[in-house]
Amino acid sequence: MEIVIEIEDPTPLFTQLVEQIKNAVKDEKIKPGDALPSIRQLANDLEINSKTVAKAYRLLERDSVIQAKGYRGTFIHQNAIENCAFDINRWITAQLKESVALLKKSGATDSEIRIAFTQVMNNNKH
Amino acid sequence: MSMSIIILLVVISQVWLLSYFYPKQVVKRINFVLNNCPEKDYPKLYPVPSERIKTIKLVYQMLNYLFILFGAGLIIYFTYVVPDYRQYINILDDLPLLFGIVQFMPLFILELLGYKHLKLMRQKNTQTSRKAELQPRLLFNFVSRFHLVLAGLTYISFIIYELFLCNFNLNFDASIKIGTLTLVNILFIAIGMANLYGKKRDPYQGTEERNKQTKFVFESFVFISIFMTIYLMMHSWANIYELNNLEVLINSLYFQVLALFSIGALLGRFKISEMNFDVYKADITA
Repeated sequence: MEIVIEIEDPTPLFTQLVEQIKNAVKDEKIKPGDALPSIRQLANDLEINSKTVAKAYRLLERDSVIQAKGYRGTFIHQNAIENCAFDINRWITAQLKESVALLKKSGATDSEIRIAFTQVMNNNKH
Repeated sequence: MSMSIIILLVVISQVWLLSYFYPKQVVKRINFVLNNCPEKDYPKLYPVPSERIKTIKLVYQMLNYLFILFGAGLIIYFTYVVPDYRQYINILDDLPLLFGIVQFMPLFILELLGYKHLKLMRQKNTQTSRKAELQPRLLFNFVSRFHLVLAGLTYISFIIYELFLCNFNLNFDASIKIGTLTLVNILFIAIGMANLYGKKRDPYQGTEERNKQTKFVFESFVFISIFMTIYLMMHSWANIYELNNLEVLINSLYFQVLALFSIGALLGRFKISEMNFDVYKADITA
């Protein structure tokens, strides 16, 4: 199974990696329990920074698509196919829509919501 | 057959193998590429003009011809000019070794130029898409556990053997031999690991070709390491019993077997006609 990334594509490299690995799982090109290359190997093969691959692996692990097993390496999660179906972006949008609707119902203006959202996001960084 | 004739035949074989036979095969491969993959059709293969490659090939050929003449001169001198070669046996025993190093030089230079060539190919690579296999490359997919353990055991045996020969009081000779072998093994491990996990040196090389190359690197390194250890053991043994005649043979055979395991195995394993050169063709733009 081969993955291809486009360096000049506007989509961030880590997103391309996440999407391609998820697609490979969905299309059953890689199966639960299959081993994945190490971060270093994949970064060297794709000639990209290992931090980019590490970020993609972190996101896939968060979504339970892959599973790190210490020195034994990284493997496809047993429930990877089901977990790939979960679209975090759609979920975030739905959650925000609900919250924004609630705030507007309470009389908050668009600019107040934006300022508050930015403040919350900035505070979360620290 | 007398010892002097055996020595003569082995040394002739060293000159023929290292300066004529294998260089001729290497030149054949260069010619195959130059003739079948011309610069205009395979521009990715030529980060430098093909004329430069032809010049390098010519220098390589000339150096080898020079070493054939030099080798023939030495053989004639010790066969016909010197009344009895045994008078010079103390010089002669290391001569095949020193001459072997010199004979390997053109190939070494070619290898270094090859690295430079691949570096230029990487610099000129304008591809924006990058491919990678989604499978881990594991050491034991490329080398058998048995061979690796055997190499390790041979190395440990060598250290014990050397220590035994000097009554477990490490002397200068033994430490040089152990140090050299250790450094060579470390170098082999480093090159092997770079092949396994490192960046592709040839930016256009396909996965299959890369895996084939990695397998070859590990296999040849394991065999060379084992063979080098055995050679050093035999060398120590010949030194202790002052078997200078045998030392000439061992030293000469050492380089011939080394050539067989490295360049010979490479030429045999990677048939030029079976290689995929299409990856070096110009990109087709609509």
